[in-house]
Amino acid sequence: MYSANELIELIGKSERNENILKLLSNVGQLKPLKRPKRGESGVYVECQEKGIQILFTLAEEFSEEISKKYMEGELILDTIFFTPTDDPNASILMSLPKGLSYSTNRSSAREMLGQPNWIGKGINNDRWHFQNIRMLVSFSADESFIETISIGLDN
Amino acid sequence: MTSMNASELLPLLGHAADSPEIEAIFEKLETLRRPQMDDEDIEERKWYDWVLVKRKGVELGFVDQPYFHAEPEDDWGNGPLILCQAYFYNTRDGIAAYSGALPFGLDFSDSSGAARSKLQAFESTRRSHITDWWNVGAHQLMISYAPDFLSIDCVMVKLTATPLSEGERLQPALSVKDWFSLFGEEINSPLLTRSVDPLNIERRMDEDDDARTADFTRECGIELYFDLGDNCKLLKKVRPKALVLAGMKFFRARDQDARQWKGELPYGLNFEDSPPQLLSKMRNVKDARLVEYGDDKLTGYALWHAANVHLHVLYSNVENQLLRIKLTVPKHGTE
Repeated sequence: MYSANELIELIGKSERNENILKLLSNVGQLKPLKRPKRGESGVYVECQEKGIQILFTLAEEFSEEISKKYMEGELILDTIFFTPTDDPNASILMSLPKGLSYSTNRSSAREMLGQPNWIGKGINNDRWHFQNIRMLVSFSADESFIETISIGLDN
Repeated sequence: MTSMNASELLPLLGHAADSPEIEAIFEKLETLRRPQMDDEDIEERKWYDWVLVKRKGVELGFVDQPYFHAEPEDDWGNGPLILCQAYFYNTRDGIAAYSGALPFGLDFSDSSGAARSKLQAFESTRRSHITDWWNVGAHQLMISYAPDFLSIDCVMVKLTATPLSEGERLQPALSVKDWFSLFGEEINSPLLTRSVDPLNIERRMDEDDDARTADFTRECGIELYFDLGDNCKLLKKVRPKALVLAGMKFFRARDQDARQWKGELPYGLNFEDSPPQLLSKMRNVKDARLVEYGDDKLTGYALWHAANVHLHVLYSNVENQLLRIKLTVPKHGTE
């Protein structure tokens, strides 16, 4: 089980990082990560039954300052998507980020986190920026609960 | 940092992408990129994938082995992927110059003259146009140059794809003169049917659901084109609304997965001709006028108008040899 903060700590780390390898193993990703196809910038690890999806992006997609630290073709953990599971016991999550829960409504979220840095037009999405991390929260049509949360590198 | 010399790579042409030897090359090149082929690629008939290593100035090309070795088509896409090409680049946009030793003692500072003298032992195989190409034994070697030909831009080595087996060839026995005399024949004319035997035009067009093209590239490397009689400028009188033979295209081996056309080619052309040989042969054709031509990195083309026919030739700017030769009758509204 992971707390949201433990997962957030892994954002920006390489696919070769020991804790990333452990996370991948814990979500059932036992084979080496699939390589992005030519022309594509990253790969998704789909493990919704565990409550998360993970986007790995090629290091060269980031600034030269970041990419030069990595091998060509090396993937780094870019974004984690948090989604509710049909079976709550199957989730690897102990908690959601910033004290949120899937039952948090939009106005409560804003009370907890402050005014969003960006508000979706025509879609119920709010985005906050924290240091080098961005968090996007998607609410239900009636804004009464959270559908997904994504947290990723603010690049 | 260990650099990799081309001489280490050349013996590995033909090795599987996931073999320990190729994996060691990837490690030397410090890349985590790997070639791959998935169901979508197979559906789209994409049999190649490439790994570009920008920091090392190297690109490796991989191909599905059953496809490359012309195994039964049902096996195409079953893999493994094998190394079939390697490119060594001089500095270019976003790509560092390859810093290891090039094959045959070549150096990026070599002019075309210097490169040709280093490859003197293979001079009899050289075909040149905007690049130089040699058969160097187990593989092919291509050099492209800077625009002034005073330095090397890229060295490429590759394996040759196996031609499709001859066992399933169906080849009509027709001379070029015969083809010319068949222009304007209606699609179901007994003369045309008899002449192209063992090919069956109507059946093929039904199978392919194409009303104007009969594709026999697999059988013998030819496509036949039909058009309405009143669209074509023909010497013989034809019914205006009848579909008549208006053109044909001859293919070299493995271009568009064809069996190479083994019959006579027009104007004494040969698939092994280099682009300069093509131009030289066509200069001797009295009534043929070169009306259009162009080159890009991989291919070039030239179009001639002759008295009763147009000739379009597509050639490779890698192997510097002819790929497709197309004859068509002129259409009304053209010269």
